[in-house]
Amino acid sequence: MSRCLTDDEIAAAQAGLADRKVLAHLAACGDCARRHADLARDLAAMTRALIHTADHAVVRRATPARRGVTRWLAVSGAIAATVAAIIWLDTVVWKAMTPAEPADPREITALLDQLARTSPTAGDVPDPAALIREVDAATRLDAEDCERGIVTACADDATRVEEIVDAQ
Amino acid sequence: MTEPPAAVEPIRGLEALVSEHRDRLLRLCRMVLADGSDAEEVVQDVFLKAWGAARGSDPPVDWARWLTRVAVNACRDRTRTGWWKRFRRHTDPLEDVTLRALAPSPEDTAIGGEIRQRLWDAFHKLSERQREVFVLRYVEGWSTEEAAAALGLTTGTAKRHLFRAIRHLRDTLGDAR
Repeated sequence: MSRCLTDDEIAAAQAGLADRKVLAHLAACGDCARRHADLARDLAAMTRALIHTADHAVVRRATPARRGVTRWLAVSGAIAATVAAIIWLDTVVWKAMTPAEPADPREITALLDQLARTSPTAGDVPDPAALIREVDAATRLDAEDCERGIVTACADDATRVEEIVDAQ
Repeated sequence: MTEPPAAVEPIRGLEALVSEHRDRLLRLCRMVLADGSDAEEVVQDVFLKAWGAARGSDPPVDWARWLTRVAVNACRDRTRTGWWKRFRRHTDPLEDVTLRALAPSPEDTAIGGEIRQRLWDAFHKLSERQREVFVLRYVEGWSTEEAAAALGLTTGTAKRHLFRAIRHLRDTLGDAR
């Protein structure tokens, strides 16, 4: 290697990353060897300075004013995050779960018309009075059968008839 | 090398360890953590671990290296956990307190106070790993291989961390001069 080493190559050599070519150049070139030694001396001085600073370190604490600002910022951040979460819940989650209402009244009218067409007409519904008469007749027959001992569990049957009427 | 604490007198052994290594470990932790309070707590934790290790069945032979390795790892754990605790403590209303007051040393005059502060700030802009490798290599005087082994790194990785640290500090010192 004929050219002199760059500063980074000198630093790499100091860190133990130099290859054989760099080491050979350091051995042959007085200028680069001097720069390498200068860096080693600077590092030693810097290390002593760092040790000195560490030995004279101060416990850095926040002043009351800075503490107030810091806590105020923390509380404000928490409140802002809560408000953002509520807005997000309202806009994204809640509205996604709630079915959308038809905006146009004409759609409602059309829907009601369709329901009316598909619903049973009044003629299809059995007459309640006729239905009651039919049930009364059946009940009487059952009561007679009970008296004759033909049928057991008469009360249950009557109850069942009532249930049928209620269902209808 | 420090003699291990005698098993029959563990308290006296621990006192000897504290007396011999406390200042060195405190300096090391301050350099890695840049926080005097955290450093104090880490050093206390390290000596608690030393107490446990001294009472164990296989106490360390080389206490100096054992304490250094445990301290560096404890500093790393410290920076990765307990952020809320640090936030709370950093907002406590306490005034600055100088931990040690000594007469100006020759180093004080060699590198002035302003440059020292710039170096200190630059040092704490290094990555955690770069600081750890630098401290073990230049402050503790370990070889790069020993530092790498203590930090669980390959030697090549430790050298690359060291190279970046050297380059950054060299540039800082060059700018400051």
